[in-house]
Amino acid sequence: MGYRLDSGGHIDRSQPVQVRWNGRLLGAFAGDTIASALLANDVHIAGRSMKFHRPRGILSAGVEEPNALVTLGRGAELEPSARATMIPVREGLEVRAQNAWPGLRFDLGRVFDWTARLWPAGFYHKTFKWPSWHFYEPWIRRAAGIARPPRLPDPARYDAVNAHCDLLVVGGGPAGLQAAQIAARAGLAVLLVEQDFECGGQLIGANVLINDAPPAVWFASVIGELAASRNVTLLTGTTAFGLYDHGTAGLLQRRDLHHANPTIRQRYWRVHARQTLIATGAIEQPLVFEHNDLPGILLAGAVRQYANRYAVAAGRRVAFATNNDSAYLAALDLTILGVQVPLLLDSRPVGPKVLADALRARGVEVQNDAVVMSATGRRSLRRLRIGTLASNGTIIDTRIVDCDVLGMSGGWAPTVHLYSQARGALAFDDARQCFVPRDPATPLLCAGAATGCATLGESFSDAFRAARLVLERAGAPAAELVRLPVVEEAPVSAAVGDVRRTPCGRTRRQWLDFQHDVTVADAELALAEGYQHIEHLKRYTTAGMAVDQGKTSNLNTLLTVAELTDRKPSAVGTTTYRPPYTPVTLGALAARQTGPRYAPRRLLPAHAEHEALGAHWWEAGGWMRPACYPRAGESMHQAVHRETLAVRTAAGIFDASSLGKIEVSGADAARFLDFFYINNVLTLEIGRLRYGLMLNESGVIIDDGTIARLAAERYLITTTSGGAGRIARWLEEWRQCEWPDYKVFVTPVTTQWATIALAGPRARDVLARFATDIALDNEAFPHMSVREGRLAGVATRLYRVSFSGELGYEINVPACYGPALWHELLSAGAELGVTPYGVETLLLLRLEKGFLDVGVDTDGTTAPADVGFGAIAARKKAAFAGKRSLGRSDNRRADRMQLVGLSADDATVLVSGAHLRLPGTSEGSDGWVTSAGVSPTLGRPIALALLRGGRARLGESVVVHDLGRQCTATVVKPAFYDPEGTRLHD
Amino acid sequence: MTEKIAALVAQSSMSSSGRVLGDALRLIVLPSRTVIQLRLATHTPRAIATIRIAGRTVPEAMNTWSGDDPVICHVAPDAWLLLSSRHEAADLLDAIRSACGKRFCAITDLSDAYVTLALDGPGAVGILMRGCGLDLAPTAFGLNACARTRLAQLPVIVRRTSNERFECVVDRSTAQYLFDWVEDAAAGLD
Repeated sequence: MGYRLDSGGHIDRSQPVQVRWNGRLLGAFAGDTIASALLANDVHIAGRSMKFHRPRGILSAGVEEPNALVTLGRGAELEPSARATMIPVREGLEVRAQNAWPGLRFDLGRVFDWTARLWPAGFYHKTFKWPSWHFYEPWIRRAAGIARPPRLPDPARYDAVNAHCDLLVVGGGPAGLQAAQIAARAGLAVLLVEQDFECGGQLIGANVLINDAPPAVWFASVIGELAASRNVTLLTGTTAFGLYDHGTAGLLQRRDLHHANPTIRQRYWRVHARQTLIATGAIEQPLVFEHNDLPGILLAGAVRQYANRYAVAAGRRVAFATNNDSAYLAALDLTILGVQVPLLLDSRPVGPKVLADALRARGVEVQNDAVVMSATGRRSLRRLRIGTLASNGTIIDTRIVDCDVLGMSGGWAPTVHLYSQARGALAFDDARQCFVPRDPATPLLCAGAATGCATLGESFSDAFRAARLVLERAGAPAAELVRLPVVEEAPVSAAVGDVRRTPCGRTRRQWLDFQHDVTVADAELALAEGYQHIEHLKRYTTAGMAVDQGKTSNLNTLLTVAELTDRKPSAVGTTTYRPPYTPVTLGALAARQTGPRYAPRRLLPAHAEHEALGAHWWEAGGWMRPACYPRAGESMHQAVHRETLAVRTAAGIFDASSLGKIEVSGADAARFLDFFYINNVLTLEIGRLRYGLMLNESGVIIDDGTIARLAAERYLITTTSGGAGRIARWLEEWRQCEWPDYKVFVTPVTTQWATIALAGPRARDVLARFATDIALDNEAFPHMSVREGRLAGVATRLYRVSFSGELGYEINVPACYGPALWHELLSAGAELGVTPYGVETLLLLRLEKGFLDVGVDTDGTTAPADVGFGAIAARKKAAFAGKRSLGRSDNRRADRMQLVGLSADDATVLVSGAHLRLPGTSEGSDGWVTSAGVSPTLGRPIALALLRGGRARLGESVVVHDLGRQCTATVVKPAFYDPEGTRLHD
Repeated sequence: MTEKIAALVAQSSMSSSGRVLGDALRLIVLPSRTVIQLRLATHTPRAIATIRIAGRTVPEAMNTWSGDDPVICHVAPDAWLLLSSRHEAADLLDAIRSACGKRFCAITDLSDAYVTLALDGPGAVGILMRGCGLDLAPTAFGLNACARTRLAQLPVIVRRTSNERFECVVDRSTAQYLFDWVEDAAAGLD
């Protein structure tokens, strides 16, 4: 039965705090964690396990906690699966247990435990076969998981920041702090992170002396020095969750540990460190025996830490079981604090004599060759059945011992997660029975318990070794700037006995993974079914795959597997360590990149003018573009209809500034560009422009636009709005990698220019109202030409080009004149009926005309011949990107998806995305509608579609399927309006 | 020139006189200026050393800048960006053309393609490191440093003009986004 000790501990008794646990108020003190508060209030059941809903208590006092996962807060601020061992208490903090219904003490889910034989490892592969997995899936998905995520949007703010340092020290224990102090004094920029809300690791409140004083004195002085150093950043409550290439580390800083509502809840640090030192300590491992998962069974080091750091006795009669020396220290500390310790079981024949004698002198029975056979108790530990290991492997002299807490120790596993993530090799240490870094200096530095050090003295010496290497590699002065602390501590050995699993009892009640309820029997089953490889066994049994990622189960699982298969642990190996070390809030990774900052929004030069006209905005290709300009009382559809007719009968203006523009100049510009188009660029004359279709190396259409020749060695190409960056990079890559000797430069100039398209039968009349030195008549300035000159006094590149099918111009002026030009066109053209039109209208205009919209009417398989450009591609003799691929037999198949027009047989509106079926077929799809609309000019629904073998089916009928509706349409040529193009040339 | 600023300010909520964000940062949209990109095929130091624009040599070391007007930034192995508040684009274009002579080069007026935002004050580095991966410590990114990099997902050219002042040359279409981003970042610091 847990209780608070009358004195001691690293808590502030002058600051009482109350937390709410499942609605009940618990008293605690500042400095407590939720877990220590629970123990101090004699709460032993902290949660229920995932699969069997078994009651589970607090196992550890740190990051490895598999059981005491709790839900914090409520509503939008709810945080599921927080480790109770890592969260400091604060006034009013609301904490709830997880995975239990209707309540923690009585949970109906326990029925899975009583029927556990039905749910062995991999049960869902075997049990849910009939009628099919999908029949059971919804129910199983509901049962899976142990907590519920918040349903409301997270109101908290998160932050992400980049940081650089000479040395990143992960871990604020003695080794980490010592190394950081040495490096900081040598002038290195040091970043030290500690996941706990206080530095000190296992040593907070421990009974050792550093330089003749309690460890708190040494810690306070080093932390004070580091905090005052300008070249040191010290982050507590911060976890290094991943180590990546080139010294990059990901940190998660919890700023909500002490405050309910900080401005920034959590901060994600991307650290670029020149050197990294891993001083992450070690994690104590459980012993394996029958019912080793009962509440009241804790790790021995945790029992010690609760007593020393939090002044909490986990129970009134605390027994210990161990296979190494460390539990002796825990037992000794507890007796010093006045807690009754009846018994310490050591599975080894011989223990540390000095410590054993000290314990015996304090009335503790120390028994060697002794193991726990099983634990019993209804909801928490009541008694242990113990026995003596005989030399023949059997267990003799069994007896029952009453106790309410057992502190167990199966040895310490160095926290090598980060080291291994960064591809550091591990080696199995037979004496310590754990995996250690094979070389603690390569590729990363490790120090302290993370390399296997068992005592404080060893850790300090190791930190000095590592710090010397750090300074050497940084080229910093190697002078001895700090003196090695003098440590007075009990002599313990790092050696670990080889009994970690009691060789008797029911293996299906011997737990390996507490959170996922994986037992020794599950491992036996997996092995029997052929899952010999540890990576297979892990996935089949789900051992180590829970939220805690197996920090207290991976080692036991693999050592058990080694034992069961009679292999060496090194032959079994470890599973792969992957980031994150502990769960990371998605909000922190997204940080500020949410809502309007999710992705950059690009604004047109005349953005404000469009806004003033009431533009309905579309986000396309990263740009905010007007879709259309609805007038008061007008729907979008009506606006598009009106704008379309205005362009067809008078004139319209469209902001095309987002169109990609790339200048290509130099003596080799023509032959360079010629390679990227299926069209011939070499024959293009100065002042003319040509439509160009671009393919990738596979012969697939990736972009289209115009190629204009401004001067003998200067071209300006246009791309789609979304393709501008991609195409410029692609050209640059070819230039740099394939033709470094070409005299050619590629310069993106998209936003240097504002581009306003002016289209309609009266377009020339509108333009004629401006003072210009460019001759506008049809003969001097025919369709597909370009002129440079001045318009209304502004330097202008004037294109005669059309995407609408009407007489059209594109007026390019320096971007700062964009708003003025837009304004002038509207006022000068007012009496000629100039109407602003948006992208939606433009797309309808081009649909009537049958012009291609790359990426809409094409996909990642469309070749030129599929959209009517086969002859042009075939005619070009010179090499161009994708040419060879066009010769593949697949590109000559008659049943390819080909672009056709569709004309609805009745008034049914065709919808893009609708599927097509040829008459007589009843299965699959023979194509789909790519663009569709009701043509205001023709007064009927029209569409473009990709149809299987479509070009040979003109005049035939197809069935159009759309969400259960059907209609028929006739296949026509993909040009509905002015197919001869006479209007363009007027 | 003034109509350019007016147009820019009109299109956005950006203030041309600068905005004070807390006591540690001022965010300023600099008056529009001439921006010329020079690309030179021969980037051997010897060839560069002979080029003088407005009486100044072009910086040879990558990611450095020199001069006060025009400022010449070496932003890529074969690319320089010239920034000027005093020179008209046409004059500067002529000067560069004659300086480059017969060398193969591309000289492009990009005055309208860019907007310059200045972050001024002790809080500037703290804001930049929230959106930019560069090491901005004075030892790594000193007073003559500039770099083509990413800031708030945007391609920018960052230039340090004093210990606590940085100028970010950003595409005009995304200037408003960057302005808003800086405001947001500054508001959320604690």
